[in-house]
Formats: sequence, structure tokens, C-alpha cells
Amino acid sequence: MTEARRTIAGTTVLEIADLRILGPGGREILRGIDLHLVAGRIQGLAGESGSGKTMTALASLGLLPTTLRASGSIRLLGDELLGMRARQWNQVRGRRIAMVFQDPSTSLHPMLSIGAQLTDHARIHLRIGRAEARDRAAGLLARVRVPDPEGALRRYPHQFSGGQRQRIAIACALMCEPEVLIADEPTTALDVTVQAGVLRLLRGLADELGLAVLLVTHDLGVMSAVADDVAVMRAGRVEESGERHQVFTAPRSDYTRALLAALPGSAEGVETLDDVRALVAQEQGKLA
Amino acid sequence: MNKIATRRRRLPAAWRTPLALTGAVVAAAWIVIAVLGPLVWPHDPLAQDLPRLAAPGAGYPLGTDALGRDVLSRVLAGAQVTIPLALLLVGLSLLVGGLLGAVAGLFGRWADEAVMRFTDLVMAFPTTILAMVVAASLGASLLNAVLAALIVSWPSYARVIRGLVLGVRTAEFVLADRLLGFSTARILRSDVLPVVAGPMLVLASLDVGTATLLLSGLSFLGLGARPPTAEWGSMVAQAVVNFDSWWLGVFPGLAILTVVMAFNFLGDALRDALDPRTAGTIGEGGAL
Amino acid sequence: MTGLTVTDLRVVYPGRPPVVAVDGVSIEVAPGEVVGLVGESGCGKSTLARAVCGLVAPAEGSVEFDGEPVTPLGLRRRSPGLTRVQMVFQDPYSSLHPRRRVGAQIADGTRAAARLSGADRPAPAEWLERVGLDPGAARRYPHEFSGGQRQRIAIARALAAEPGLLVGDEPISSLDASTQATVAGLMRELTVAAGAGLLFISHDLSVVRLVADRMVVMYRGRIVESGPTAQVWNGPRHPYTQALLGAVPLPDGLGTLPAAPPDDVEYPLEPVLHQ
Repeated sequence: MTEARRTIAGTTVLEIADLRILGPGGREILRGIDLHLVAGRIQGLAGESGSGKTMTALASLGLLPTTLRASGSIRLLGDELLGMRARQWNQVRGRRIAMVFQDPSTSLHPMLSIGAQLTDHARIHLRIGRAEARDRAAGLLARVRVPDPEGALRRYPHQFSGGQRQRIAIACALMCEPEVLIADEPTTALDVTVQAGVLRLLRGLADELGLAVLLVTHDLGVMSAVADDVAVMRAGRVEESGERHQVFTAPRSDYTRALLAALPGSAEGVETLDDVRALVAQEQGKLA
Repeated sequence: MNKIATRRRRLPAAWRTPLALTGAVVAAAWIVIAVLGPLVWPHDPLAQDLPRLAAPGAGYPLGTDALGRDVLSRVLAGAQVTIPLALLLVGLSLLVGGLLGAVAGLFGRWADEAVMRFTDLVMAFPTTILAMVVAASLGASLLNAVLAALIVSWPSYARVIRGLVLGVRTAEFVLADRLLGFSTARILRSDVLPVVAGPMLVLASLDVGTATLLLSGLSFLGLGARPPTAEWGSMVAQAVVNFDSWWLGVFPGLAILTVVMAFNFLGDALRDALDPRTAGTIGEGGAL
Repeated sequence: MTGLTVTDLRVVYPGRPPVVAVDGVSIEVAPGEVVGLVGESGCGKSTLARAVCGLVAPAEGSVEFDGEPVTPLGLRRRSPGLTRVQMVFQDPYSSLHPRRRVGAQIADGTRAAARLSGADRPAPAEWLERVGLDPGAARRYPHEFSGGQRQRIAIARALAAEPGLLVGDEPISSLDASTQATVAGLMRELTVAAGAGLLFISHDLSVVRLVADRMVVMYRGRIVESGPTAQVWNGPRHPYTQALLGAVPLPDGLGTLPAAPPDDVEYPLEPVLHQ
């Protein structure tokens, strides 16, 4: 494993090549996914339920259920991750690749103080003392804009709002200065005003820390706000992938086009009631 | 995703364990013995025409008692007393406890308070002692023993059903049905019953053992079956006086033991079969 | 036929201290009108929806539909008149009975309508067609359908009861984004065609804006802004509405970060009403 922690912006940090996942009975869950995560850029992975986007994220974290078989390649700065043993994954997960999940009420341990949760794994991974870990934690809490960082370390998750808990989860993820951050629906459970703050935070962190971020979400509005590159998944395949502006304004795949057409606010999307009526009629037509 | 639930082709996994099969076989055997009645008794259980207190041997495989009656015949005849009564007791407890619990769960507030406090009151008394008191005051007879046992058994059913009903009541499909003008009877029948039936069946089957013990216990104390009725509990009571004739107590005791264990195994199997996690069936949710 | 009239409604949940979920709300939905109710978590919109249908009892104020008070659901069966108020719930996985056929559940709706007048009614298969599903699906069970399809079935069941008012409590939130606009549009078309009113509750302003005639914004149990949709959307006057609208990310591919109000900000509670 390499020692380098700070990666130069623009370096490809995580390379997923031809990732295939088979379920029980040979059912294909992922059919050959290619994806690149670049330092300092947010890669969005969009798709509806069942598209396989969460599976892709889980595979990159070594969190696939054991009943599934994965093949292909996932390289982190040259180190092959697929097929690693549990002990090796423990060195990578939380330290080189960090994650933030959807539900802020279950992503933090309800019975441990924030300080404990932030410092426990960092002390093991980075071999630093308690005081140093706490300082680092307080610094990160300040960076993610949790008010009164020192006091927050002593408090418990239930004393914070959903948005603050998500920020704390992000701070926790950043403790070991990971190269990659995987966020699976990080703002889906948050109110839209709270979501805006967390999105700005993610964008800022990618820019300032040179983090390579994989943002998995079904919300194309979120995608449009923060992602640099977008990959659209359907039924285990990447339907379209490219730079954000291009995918949203000049999509190449029919699927992406149809997806965008059904959304209010997109370039060719539904804008008026008549547009909606046309969508409904179109659907009735398909059934007739 | 839209597969129709297929029928099970093999016995569900939960039923294929040795314990479940043993339980099923033994319980079935006892039920057959109870049903066949006089057809399987080698001697008349009430006839006092054999040598007294004879050890097990030819002509009387399980020995004879102090009045010259064949123990084997009496043990087999005991099944005709105990098993129907135990099943009757469980059925009545289920009915009474279930109705009260359903009322408490459905109507809430005053009804709930009233029923639950009454339940607490009854449960505060030691089960056997209360049953003894009731049976003693009503006069010793099998039917009175059943009544006494009923009085102490219904509360646990009421509690469980109330919990289940409370859970169902706030389920949205129930709310939808109420908004559509379903009558309370209809709600109970089509919404609540399907949810409640499974767990109730499990509870009841596990309870047959307890019922058997309770009834035999009351008879042992002279508060249930009266001589000369062949009933296992009273047979054990008579054996206490002639304790060096070991066959007098051991065989009725074994009868009680096997019945209780058989129904316990059955109840466990039923519970595992209904729990979707352990059912191991194809199709939706796992069931009988 | 006057539709829904809610006057000074107050709903309080018990606790220490008691939580005032709805704090003096007055709202009207006329027959054939679609009112979009928006707000973030904790604003009271779901509680308001439930109070309108009689699923929770108000502490103060009144809920009337066509002049008749909407009494909270009690021991007795819902009166036929009040089955004219129907609801579509948020979670399509728990709002349908798991063990009854889909057609039978829609027929329940038809039966409710029949209690009011015995005329001939469309069969469940026809309702399935109207909501965009295969009419032959009436014999299937809910678990054989996807979330979006189940929601359509729930809508069919509610509309089969021929309500004068349909309340949708976050009806599209659990659906895939590509079907949200379509299902919302479907709800509007079918409800308005039947001459009924639709109270459409959602936290997703972009979709509400497409289907609602009027938009009402709730914050902390109160209505802070209300008016014709176009006016509220294009020219919001209350600071909370402005923050809410400014925070919505648009899928336009421009990479614009939405405006983020500070976490602990508190907005004024006085309402602004458009004419």
C-alpha cells in the first residue's frame, strides 16, 4: 500500500473497470461498469431504484453481501481492491476510502459521544494519541461548520439536528484524510434547505482537500448542483457518462433524455401543466 | 420483480428438523389414541379384576395399581381426558383473551385501560395458586378445573393480541379501509385477523403443554378429576402413596412429559415456519 | 357544494411539553381546485392532512366538508357522507392490504361510493386502466407490483370511492423521479375531471408547482404564504418561501449551488397572502 495521502488534483484515484456482480442463481446485478474517480472532482452516479448504483458503491467499499460474486477490477491508486481479504479491507475502509450514508439518524452510534466516534478509528488507523485525535476532530467539526466544536465532542447524536448529524458523519469520514469519499444519497433524508448546506460543504471539501468523491443519488437536481461528471445507470449498466453540462443539456442516450424530459427544471423538462398532460397522455398511449 | 408467488413444492424448511417431525409424530400418536379410545385399551381402565400392585410383566405391560387396574389401559384412557381438555382450554383462552385483547387494541383509551388493568390484576396472582383457589371453591371436577385454568390463562393471550392489534391498527391500509367506511367487524375480519392469526397459533400450540401441566397439576391436587376417572395427574397422586411401586407414577408422568414436549416442538416449528427469516420457503413471507 | 373549509385549526400532540403541530391554520379547497401544500419536515402539513380526513382530532378549530363537519374516526363506522373525503398515503408498501387482490381493494372503493347512490359504477379493471395500469392486473396481489404501480393502485382505490376531496399526503415522495410528474399529473387530471378538489401535500416544490392552482407554504405549524401558484413561485414574498425556493437544486446541468440558509435561522411567523 502506498503512503501518499495528498493526491494531486487531476490524478485518477479510483478506477473501476468492467465490474460485474452476479447474484444467487447467476442473476446479473452489474453488467460491466467502468468508472473513474479523479482527485478534486465529484463523480455523480445517478439512477433509479434497482439500477445498481448502490451495489457499485458497496463493491468499492468491500461491503457486498457474501452471497454475491464480483469480478472485474477496482484499483485504488494502483492497488487492486477486489478480492482483498477482510483484514486488508479493514486497512482501506475508513482510512483510504471513507463513506457517508443516507440516514443521519442511524449513521452515528446513538450511545457514543461524538468525540468518541470521531477519534476511535482515527487513533487506530493513524496511531495518534487521544489529545491529538481530539484536536483534529475539533478542527474538522469547525470545517464542516458544526457550532461549538469543543462542546460538540462531548455531546451525543440525538442532541443534533439531522443536517448537523450528516455533517458530523462527513467529519468522521474525513478524520483519516481519505483519498476517496463515497456518499450514498447523503442528502436524500434531509430537508431541502438543510440539503443545500450539505451540498455546498461537499463541493467545498472536494475543491479544498482534493478529495475524489463518488456521489450516488437518484436526485438529478442534486447531481446538477455539485457533480463535475455524471454517469447514469440503468439495470446494471452505465447508460451514459460524461461531463455534467453535456449530459444534462445534450444527452446522447435515449434513456437519459427520457429521464430528463420527465423532470421539472431540466433543459427539456416539464415546465407547464400542458407538458405534464402530454407526459400522462404519452404514457396512456404506450399502454393502449 | 413482478413474479407471482409460486407454490411450495417441498415441506418448508422449518418443518424438516428432527424435533419438529418428532413432535408432529408423537402429538399425532396421542391424538389418535385419544380418538380411538376403547379400541386400543387392552383392559377396561375401571375394572378392578387384576392382581394388585403387580410389577410390569406379561398380561399387564405397565403393571397394575393398588385397586387391580391395568396401568397401560389407564394411561391410554388418560389421553382421552387430558388432550381434549387441554385443547379446549387453549381454545377458550384464545377466544376470551383474544377478544378482550382485540377490544383493548382497537378501541384504545378507556377500553384499553380497563382491559389491561384487569389483565394485570389476574396476572399478579401466582397462576397455580389462583387456579387451585378457584377450583377448590367451585368443587373438584374436570370441568371446574378447566374453568379455573381458563381464568388464569387468558391474560397472556390478551396481552399479545393487544400488541399485535395496536400494530395493525395504525397500519396505513387499515386507515384506508376505515376511511372507506368499513365496519369494525369487517376491519377485524379482513385486516386484523390475518395478521394476528399466525402468532396466535404459535402461542396456542406452545400453550398446550402448559395447559396439560396445569390440568394434570390440579387433578394431582385432587381439584380436578375425581376417582375413578383415569387421569394422569390423579394417577401420579395415587402413586405417591405407593411410591415403591415405581410403575404407578413413572408411566403417567412419562405420558404428560411426552405430550408437553411434542406440542412444544410443534409450536417451535410453527413459529419458525411463520418467521420470514427462518422459514426458508419460496414465495412470499413463508407460512404454513 | 362548498368543498373543504378548515377554520383556525389547532392540533396538539401530547407530551412534555405538548407539541403544537398545527397552530391556527385556515385553508379552503374548492371542488375542482388543486391546492399544493408545501413545507419541510415538522411544519405540520402531514398532521393537517390527517386532521382534514379525520384521522387525528383537532384541539381547536373546525374542519368542514360541503358544510358537514368532518368528525374524527371513532368507534363507529365512517358515515357515507364522509367517505367523500379520501386519502392517498405516502408509503405505497403499507397502504395496500398485503393479502388481498388488487381488484378487490379497488372494489372496496366502489362499494363506498355505492353506499351513497346505487348507480352503476366502473369495474376495478376500468379504474386500473385509468391510472395507467394493465386492466388484467386486478387479480394480482400488491407485492407483484413496483412502488410506483402500487401508488397508482392506491389512487385508483381512493378515486373509486368518488370522493369530493382527495388528500394526497406526500403521494409521490416514494416514487422514482421519472414518474413523479406523471403520477402527480394523473392525480390532478382524474380528480379535476370528477369535479373533486385535490389537496396535494409535498416537500417537492418543483412538482407541486406543475399541478397546483394555488400554493400554500407552511412553516412551524402555520401558513406563512399562500396564493396562485405562478405568483408564489415567481415572486415569493415571505422570507421562508424565498429561502425554500432558493434552496431547490434544478436539474439544468449548470452546476449552480443552491442558496443555503444557516442551520439555526428562524423565520417570522406572520403570513403573507397573495390575492
